[in-house]
Amino acid sequence: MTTSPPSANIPNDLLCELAQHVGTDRLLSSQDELLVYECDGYVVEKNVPDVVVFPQSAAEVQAVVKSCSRHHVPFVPRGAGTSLAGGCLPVGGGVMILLTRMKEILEINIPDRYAVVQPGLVNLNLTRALAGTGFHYAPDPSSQGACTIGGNVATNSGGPHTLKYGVTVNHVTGVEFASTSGELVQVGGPCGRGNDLDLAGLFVGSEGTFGIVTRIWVKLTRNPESCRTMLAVFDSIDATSQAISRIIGAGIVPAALEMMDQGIIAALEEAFSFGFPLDAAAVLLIEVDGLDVALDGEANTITELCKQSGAREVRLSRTEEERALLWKCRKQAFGVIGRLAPSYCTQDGVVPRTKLPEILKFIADVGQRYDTQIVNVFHAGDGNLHPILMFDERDRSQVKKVMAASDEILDKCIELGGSVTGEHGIGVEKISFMSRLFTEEDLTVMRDVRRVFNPDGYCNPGKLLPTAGACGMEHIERSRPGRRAAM
Amino acid sequence: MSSTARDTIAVGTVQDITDAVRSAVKDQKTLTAARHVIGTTRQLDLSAMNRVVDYPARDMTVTVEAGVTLRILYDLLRTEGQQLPVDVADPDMTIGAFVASDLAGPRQYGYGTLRDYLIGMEAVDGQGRVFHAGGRVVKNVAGYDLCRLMVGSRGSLGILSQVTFKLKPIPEQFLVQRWQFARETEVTASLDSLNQSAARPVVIDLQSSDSLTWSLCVGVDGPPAVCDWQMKRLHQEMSNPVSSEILAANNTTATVYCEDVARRHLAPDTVGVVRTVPSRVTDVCCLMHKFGLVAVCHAGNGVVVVCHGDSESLPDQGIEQIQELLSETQGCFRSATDDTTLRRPQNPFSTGLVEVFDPNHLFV
Repeated sequence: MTTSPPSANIPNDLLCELAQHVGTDRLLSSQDELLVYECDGYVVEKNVPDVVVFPQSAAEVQAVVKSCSRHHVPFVPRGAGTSLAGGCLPVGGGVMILLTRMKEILEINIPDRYAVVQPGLVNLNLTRALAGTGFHYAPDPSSQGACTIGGNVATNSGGPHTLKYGVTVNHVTGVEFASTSGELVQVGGPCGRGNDLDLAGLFVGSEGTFGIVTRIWVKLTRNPESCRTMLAVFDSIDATSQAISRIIGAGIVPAALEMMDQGIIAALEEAFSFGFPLDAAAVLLIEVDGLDVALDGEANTITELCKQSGAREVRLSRTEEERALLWKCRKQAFGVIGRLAPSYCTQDGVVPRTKLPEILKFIADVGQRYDTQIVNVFHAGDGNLHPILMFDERDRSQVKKVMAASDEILDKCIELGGSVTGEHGIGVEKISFMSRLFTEEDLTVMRDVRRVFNPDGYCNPGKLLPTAGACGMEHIERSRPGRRAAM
Repeated sequence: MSSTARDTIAVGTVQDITDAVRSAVKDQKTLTAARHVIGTTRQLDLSAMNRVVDYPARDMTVTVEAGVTLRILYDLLRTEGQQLPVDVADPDMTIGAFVASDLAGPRQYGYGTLRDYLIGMEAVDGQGRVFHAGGRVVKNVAGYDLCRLMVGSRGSLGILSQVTFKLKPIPEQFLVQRWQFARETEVTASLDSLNQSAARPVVIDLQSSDSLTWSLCVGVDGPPAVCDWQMKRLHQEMSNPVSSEILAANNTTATVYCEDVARRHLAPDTVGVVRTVPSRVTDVCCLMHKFGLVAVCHAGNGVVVVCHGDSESLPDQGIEQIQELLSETQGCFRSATDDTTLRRPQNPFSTGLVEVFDPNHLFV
């Protein structure tokens, strides 16, 4: 790795220490190399870190953190960089700690149904390693082929199958982390929290603001014996929403219940030639899993409920290949957005499931008012929306429109009794919404909690909580989208 | 807010709780919402905070005040064919106490614990601050997850005033079957089979009073045909049982079974609770037999409730041996007579959190 002049923001002696800790071959400090790390999956705001290091062990992470703290330099953990909320944006620069080289599976314990992994392990690789054991790792974010389990812990990631199986926190029983003072701390473990507070539960979803995760204990879940995957085709969004409400209201808990609207269906069809009906207003991807003996009955009930709601047709996947292709379409939906626009911004609002018809109407209205194309592909069973707003980030007026449209959608989610994030996290993107979701006293308590773990604020600063006393307008007033974090 | 001669303060609103906290700080009193109070601690009576705040059944969530009893909540949910699938040890317990104690019973194997269902909460900390976390939607990662922190915190961080849960549908049928075994090797083999069973049990309990009497109770739920199919498979998978019998043939009797077992956690003859990994449960049982104690286990979860047998306590030698066994698996033992563990946590971050929420050491 090159050694062109480093940023002036990093003291030279810190740079030397970091090089000693990880070696010069696992340290980046030249501007051209750092550019890769200027943003994650949230491309609206960017800032390059001053240094990037690639530790390979918990001891190296400890050493890096200790040096950063001693030199009063902020540090930011990063996995695969798939955060869609700017969770690993290096606000204010500093040292970025890349955990992708800590990717080992340290233990798989089938009798006790847990595994111990390093944070940089790609989510899907754990389930692949479990092939043939009859178990899998249940949280399955759409980016599971790229995202890391450490990143999943940071944001408490979900995924299509979390409707039945729960989100990351339901599957994490312990975490080891390098504290901001550089000590290695274990909370929880294979037996859970023990006699202590549930600190592992608190750690999950803390967006890297409590310390740098170095080891994770996760539960393993039995594979379902079988599944039935259906594609229900609708001529209107209303009918689709009705079907979702009927299925949930009937007390059926599908393994997954995903909705894709016309805009995304067209792009997916162009990419994968699955055979999606291009004239449909929306489709539902519905999967039930469990014991084979139970599934035909559940699938028949769901088919009936969809038809009662006005489904044009309900197709059952006939082969495993067809099912796999259907899921490939769903999980790579974000990837095909490039066919529709140069840039996109994905929102992550949540509403009570019965409010889906109302919010979907509202999103369509917002798209019209802002003259912005919005497509929807989301976890309908959880009420977790992912409206995708398309724009060209080179056109500042488009960026502004997208920001304003996004804000309106998220405000509406709050108004309907929901939240601004179901699985992506607050990051930098939604910080200004925290004061709309929570009272000032709530935020004070959360800041106090953060101070217990991160007293000096060097660990992933500028995330999750608005600065005390800020007006809450930081998000709206950004005058240089794409560079706000550096301001 | 009203106060009685016994220094019990009845509260009806979150503001009342805040006032009670501030008053206790001012008067340098300790405060608890627990039913059983020791010494001069002021007791909060939340029984008037018994309102169902919101029950949008089609969204499968419910929001209630913390003084609602489990009996009232569970009866309400049943009217909509829904449940909070965490077994009730005491139906007169308030939902706030239930969350603070993190009690669970046999169905934790199939359904998890309260940690998996609490999605929102409101509480008052030891400074009188009213704070919230989570919300009323089933998926929400905004802000720190203080809900998990409150579950099982035994009132060390604050007084809960309102909670929101996500819910599950009540299955059509719930059955529990009991198999008896005469040898540890056979019960161990059967537990191994259950780990890879073709069925998907929601209960795996083990009870043993001596090395010759092992009773394995397995529960399944779902549509009747699915339950029957599972039970047939389970019969094939068990390793040389001495006998078997249907312990509960319908939802009502199966629920009674679960509540009876859950009650063991609170029984006066309970010595303590061991948490280990599932594969070491029979080892713990054998150790307890050696010291004349009876083990009631949620075997699939590695939870062992140790009860009086010929003996009524675990001698120092037994505590040493169990600690040695548990150190291998990072397990733990909590004595039923020592409820103060969380007041003196080992982890400095837990200590720091208790200081944040209760700087005046108000909560006992």
